[in-house]
Amino acid sequence: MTVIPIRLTRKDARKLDLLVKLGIYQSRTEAIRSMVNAKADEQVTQHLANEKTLRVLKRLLEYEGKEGKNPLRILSDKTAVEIVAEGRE
Amino acid sequence: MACYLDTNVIVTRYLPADPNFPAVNTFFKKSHEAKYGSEISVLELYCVFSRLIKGGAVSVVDYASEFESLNVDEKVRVSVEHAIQTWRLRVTVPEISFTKLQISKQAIQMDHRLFEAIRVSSKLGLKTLDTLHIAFASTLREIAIDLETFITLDAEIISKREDIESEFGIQVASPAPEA
Repeated sequence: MTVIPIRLTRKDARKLDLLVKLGIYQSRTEAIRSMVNAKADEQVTQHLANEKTLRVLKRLLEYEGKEGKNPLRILSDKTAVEIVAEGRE
Repeated sequence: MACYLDTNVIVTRYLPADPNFPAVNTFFKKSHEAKYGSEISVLELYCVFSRLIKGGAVSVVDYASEFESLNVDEKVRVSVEHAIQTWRLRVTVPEISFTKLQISKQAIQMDHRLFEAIRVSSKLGLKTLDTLHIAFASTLREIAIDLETFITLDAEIISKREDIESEFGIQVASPAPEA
């Protein structure tokens, strides 16, 4: 476990206390830990897949579905084996 | 029967000039078996596409020209997502256990998949990532019991197919006739 001192507004601290009083969490620490756990993965996913990237991905997949061809192309004289092997050296 | 795809097979679909492209494209279109990858595959796809996109070596058809307006991070993310989705790659992680490796007076708790890679490293004599892919593929069989084949285009890995099969019980095959 790591100890992280955090500053909360009185309002937020009151909300935490309410969750504890309602018996949803045993302590403020447990409440914060649980909310970080629940939110962190969700926020990372949202950050990585924004609206624009999802729209572009959809277009790429649509093209592939219609044309049966890969819409992305690597411009290189090397083979895929060579390209991948470069990163494995 | 299911298979594990080496990254070079996945990437070949993006290189029409690659001599292995026709065979890989046929394999892509005709093979309906389940295809697996690992966290290593995802990491490697990120690294490969990052290098190519930073070098300006990825182009896109007009229909999806908005791709060009994305920043490098976004382009890489979209390319990796495209590769995983179109190949229908199942990236599955088995329950991880740890094996103690006693070395230099230290007891190192190793992820069992890394331990497997270390165990066979001297026999196979392959590169680190080659060995990791094979070890990860073989341990995936705990949860994907029909996974029988490691599909690669890498001649060095193919040359070790007998040792890989005897150590891991996984067959090595190529989608190309003479890779």
